[in-house]
Amino acid sequence: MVSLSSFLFLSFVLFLTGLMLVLGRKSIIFVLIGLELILNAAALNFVAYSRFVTEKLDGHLFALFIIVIAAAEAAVALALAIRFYQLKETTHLDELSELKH
Amino acid sequence: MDYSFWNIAPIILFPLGAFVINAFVGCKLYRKGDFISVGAIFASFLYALRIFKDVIVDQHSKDFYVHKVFTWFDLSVGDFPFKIDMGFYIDSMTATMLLMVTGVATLIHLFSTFYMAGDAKYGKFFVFLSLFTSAMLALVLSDNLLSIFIFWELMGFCSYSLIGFYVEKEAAGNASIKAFMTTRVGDVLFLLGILAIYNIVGSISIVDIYSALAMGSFEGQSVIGVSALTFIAVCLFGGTIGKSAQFPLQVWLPDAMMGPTPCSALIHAATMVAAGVYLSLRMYPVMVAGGITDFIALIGVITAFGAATIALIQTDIKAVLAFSTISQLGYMVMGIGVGAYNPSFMHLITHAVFKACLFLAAGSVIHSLHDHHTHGHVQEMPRMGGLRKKMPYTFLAMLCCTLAISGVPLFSGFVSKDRILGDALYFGMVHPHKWMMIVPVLGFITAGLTAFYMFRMLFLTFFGAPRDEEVYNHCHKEHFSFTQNFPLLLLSLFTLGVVYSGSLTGLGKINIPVVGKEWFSTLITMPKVEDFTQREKVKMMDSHLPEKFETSHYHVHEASEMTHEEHVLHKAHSIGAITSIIIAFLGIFFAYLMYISKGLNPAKWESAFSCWNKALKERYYFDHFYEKILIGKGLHGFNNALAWFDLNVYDRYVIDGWEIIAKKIYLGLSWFDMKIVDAIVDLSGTIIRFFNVTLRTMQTGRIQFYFVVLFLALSGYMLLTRI
Amino acid sequence: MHRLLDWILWLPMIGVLALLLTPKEMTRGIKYISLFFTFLTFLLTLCLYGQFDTSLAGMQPHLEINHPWIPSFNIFYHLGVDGISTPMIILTGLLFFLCVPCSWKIEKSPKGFFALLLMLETTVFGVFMSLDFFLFYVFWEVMLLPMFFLIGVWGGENREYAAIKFFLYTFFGSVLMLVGMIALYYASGKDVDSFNLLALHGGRFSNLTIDLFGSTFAFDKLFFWALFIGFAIKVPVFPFHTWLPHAHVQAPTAISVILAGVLLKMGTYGFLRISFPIFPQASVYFAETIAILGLINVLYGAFCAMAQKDIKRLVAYSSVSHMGFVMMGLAAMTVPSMNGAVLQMFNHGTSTAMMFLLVGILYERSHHRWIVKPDGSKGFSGLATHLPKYTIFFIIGMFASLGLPGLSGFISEALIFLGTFPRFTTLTTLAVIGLLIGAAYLLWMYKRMFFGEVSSDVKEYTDMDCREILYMLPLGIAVVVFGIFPNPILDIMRASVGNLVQLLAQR
Repeated sequence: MVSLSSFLFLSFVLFLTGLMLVLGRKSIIFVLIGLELILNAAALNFVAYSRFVTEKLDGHLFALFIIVIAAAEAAVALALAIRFYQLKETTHLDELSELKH
Repeated sequence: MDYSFWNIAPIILFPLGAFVINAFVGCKLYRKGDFISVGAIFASFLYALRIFKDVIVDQHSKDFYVHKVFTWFDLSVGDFPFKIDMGFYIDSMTATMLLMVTGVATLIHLFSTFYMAGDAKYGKFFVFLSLFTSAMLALVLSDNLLSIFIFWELMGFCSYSLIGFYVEKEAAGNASIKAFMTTRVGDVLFLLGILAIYNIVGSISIVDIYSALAMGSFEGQSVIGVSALTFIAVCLFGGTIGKSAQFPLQVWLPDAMMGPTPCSALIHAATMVAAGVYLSLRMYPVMVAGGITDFIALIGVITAFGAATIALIQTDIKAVLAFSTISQLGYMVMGIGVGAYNPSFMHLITHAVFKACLFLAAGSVIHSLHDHHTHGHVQEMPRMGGLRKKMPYTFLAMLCCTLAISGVPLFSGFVSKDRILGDALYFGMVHPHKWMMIVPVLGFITAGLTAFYMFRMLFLTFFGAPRDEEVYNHCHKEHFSFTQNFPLLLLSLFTLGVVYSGSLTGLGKINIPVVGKEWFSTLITMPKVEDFTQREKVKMMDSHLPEKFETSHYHVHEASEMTHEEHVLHKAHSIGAITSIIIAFLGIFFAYLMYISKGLNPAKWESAFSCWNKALKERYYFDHFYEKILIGKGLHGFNNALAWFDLNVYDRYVIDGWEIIAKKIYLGLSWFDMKIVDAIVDLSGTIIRFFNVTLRTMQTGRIQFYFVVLFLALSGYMLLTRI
Repeated sequence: MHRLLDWILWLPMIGVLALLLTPKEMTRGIKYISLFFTFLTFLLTLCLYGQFDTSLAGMQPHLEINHPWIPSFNIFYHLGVDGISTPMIILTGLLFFLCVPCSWKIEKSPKGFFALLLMLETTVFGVFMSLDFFLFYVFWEVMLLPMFFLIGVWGGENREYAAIKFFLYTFFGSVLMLVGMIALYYASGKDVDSFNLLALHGGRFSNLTIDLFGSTFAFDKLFFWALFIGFAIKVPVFPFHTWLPHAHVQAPTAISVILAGVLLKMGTYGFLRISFPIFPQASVYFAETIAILGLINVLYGAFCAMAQKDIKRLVAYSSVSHMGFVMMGLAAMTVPSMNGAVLQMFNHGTSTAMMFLLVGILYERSHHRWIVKPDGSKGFSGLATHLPKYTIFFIIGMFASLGLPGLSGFISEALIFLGTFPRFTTLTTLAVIGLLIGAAYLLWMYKRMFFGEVSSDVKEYTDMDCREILYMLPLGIAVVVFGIFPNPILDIMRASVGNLVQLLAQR
């Protein structure tokens, strides 16, 4: 059968992929994609625990919340990315270091 | 006579009033107010005459006295009494002195109206003259040493002012300081004596001192290690040395001749210098008890002899008289020392008269001789000569006085000087130390020298051919002028021996009707201190008559009645009388030889004694010693060194040195503050800066870097808390 | 007239207020206002003399004023006079009154000068009148302030140095006095009479000891020296005298007069009012030391004076010498000597004031004070011929300083000698040398300046004008009259001084 640990393993792989995108890629779009992957991994984790561990449906519900929040957050982040592109003519994240001392 | 305050005090108050009036309004008065001074002193003379008549003529008693006191200030409190009383004390000595002072002073005042006429400061002269006479009279009337001291110093001030009368002359300033300072040395000793007396007796009244002496209060007391009586006697005599120009303080008197001649006559011949002798006479019992009479005699005779030798070569007529004054004062002091109490006083009186006359006569001569080159007057005898014909009255006066001072019989000087010499001879003969015979021997030699130089002066001035034709021709022929000649002639009248003694030798038996025998030589007697323990002081303003005693202490013995002592005394007097007559005539004869008949040549004698001559010209180097060595090198050197020390060493290093120390301290402290304390404060900043520098490398501004850090921090935390 | 002392004390301050309100251009107005106030104060001091009851030895009860001032520390505003302070108060009133016409020709900001002068007058009166130690100390300190400015602004070439030296030196002494004052406050238990000078009298502290720096000292002997140094600097006593020549030479004439005539007396007054009555055993114990210091003053001052070539320095050193006599008189503690010492304080005030005023008159004309110039030539010559009125006053002042009988200086000196001879015979014998040298330097100065031909610069000088004669006259009269008839002053002081002598004799 498909067990809990395979779901966790999948979410773990997704999480790592997302993390590598966030930390490793220089373009802001890829960072946002990575962020979505991390969020989805977390949602998958919630659903998995909700299916295999408890009787209630809290995890499923929470995954819906995550989707909504991810969508909202993606909208805002994309708006910021557009603004960033308008200012700097590039999406290279290293240009966004105004707060450097 | 009723001795109330208003019968005695006016003697002092008249001249004092004249002083006050002349000082304030004198310049506006008619003739600058000289008549006020003359009138005042003449009024004093009348009062003095009244007292004299009462004491000497009416009372006929040597033990008569009047003593009135009033309290000057009283500071007593609780157990501590302190009172200073002032008062009058009148006895025969006082009465005679009063008469002499007022009489001589009146004549000198009169003469001054002639002598000082035309001087720009005519009025000022009389101001000082009046102040001086009032001080002298107050001194004579004083009953206590403190008031004697006060008036003594006041007279010193007047003398200072009068010597320095001609302020344009630098030399007058020097002479006036010299006089004041030299007498002040004596005054300081006098003051010490007063302090010591007050300490032991508790009072400074003469009567109290005598009583204390009689009661033995001085026994066993000592002051700074020496016996109190000796200390006091030496100190009081110190006053006399200063004021009466004795050795070693005689240097001021010759220089004092820079003052106007009437002032020399009054102050430096008749009165102020006599005050010193007067003090010693009054304090004679103390001197005897202190045992210093030998010392006094020696000082007196050294002074007399030394001054006489210096007078031999003087060419200024006033200088001769100055040295002769010092010499005669030496005689008086010698007289006190040898026990010739009465003769000293007699000599004081007779000397005052003839010396004043001599000075006035010299003044008369000087005044008449004009020097056309300097527009001044001539005082140098080498430029005089032959004035006998031009100035007969002055010559007559001077002749009488010169005869008197030389000790020629029938004149007053002989009466007094002979007795002193006789007593000195007696003193020498009975003294345990035979070398004290030097006192009478030198005394006789001095008498001869006196005769010599006085007649030398007379001959040089009045006899012979005039040595300076110009001066002689311009000299006015003398007409009898009241102010010029009357004083001279009246004074010379009183140089006749007749006035004083009815006998040739003063001891003998000729009886002249009016005068009566022996009034002068029995004027005063040595005070017997025991009598003073019962004497009363009368509070002033009570006018009841004072005590009088009837006994007389002096009488002449017949030859068979004399004790051995008196026999020797009589012998001494006889020898003395004869010797002094011979010596006087020898002196006159030598002077005649040298200056009239030209038998001896003075120049040859001068060159024969040339070293001594030089010493005489330098007045035995006393002035040189005092001025150049003692004061110039000694005192000024010390003072300059001390003042230099005070300013440059003590002030600069000890006091301002604190500034240097303080500067070092504050500079050091401020260095410490800046370099060390401040540095610690800076260290804290440095540490923070270090952290700042290191930690801000973390602020890259790149968001992915922040994510890494966040992830690592979280995982690290989770790992750590799990483990 | 119960509040007479208050009036005397504060009237000059009212004068200061009046001056502050006057615009500084009205120089004549300023001078007349100061003259008016000082004259009024002087008249009040004469009223004090009139109100004085000479039979009382203690404080005059009808004039004493006592109010609480700082109650938490038992400090009172306590004023009173007795026989010792009254002559000083009259002298102060007189001298300040005479200083105003003396300074008539001040050019530089007269408003400031006269305001400071009047302020000084108040503080000096305060010192002489206070009977509360704290109040006394306050006035003593405040006196330094106007003096500093008066010397430092209106003085001679080296004025800042002299002013600072004077201030710091005196302040050092005052600080020691402060220590003594506080010690006494604590020793008497901080109660209501701890600062009351009268209550502190009588030697209550003879048995106390105090531990300081590890060793034990007798309380009274230690603090006697603390107070002694404070007062001795003012007198000035020998080792502490060097500020005086500088201060006198650099100060303007009026200030020299005040300094010599009044301020120096504050030191000896301190001895009489504070040191001796509060510590009688210590005073008697150290009397010989004080007398020796007094003798050194007399001789040292006299010898140094003789070497001076500047007239003001000479008179300054002569002040040192005369105050030495006062110290000797105080040390001997007998009736004549202490009366003589207090009388000498008054007489020296008048005669030295005269001398300084005369020097000032000469300085106004000549702008130099050399008796002998540094190059050796004579500073003045022939003054007697050209300036006769000036000569008369100079002679009176000089001979008063000298101690000539008939003038006031002699009586006080004679009394001091009569009093000290029994106790300190050797010292007195040496001290009379001071009389001799005193005559020497004054007469030498007079001879140098007054005799001889009139020199070309002297020909330019004018004799004393009316104003100058008017302000010299009171002093001249005082000197002569009190020389013959010292009873007015002696009557005032006799009872109080006698009281003090009895107090000291019991120890």
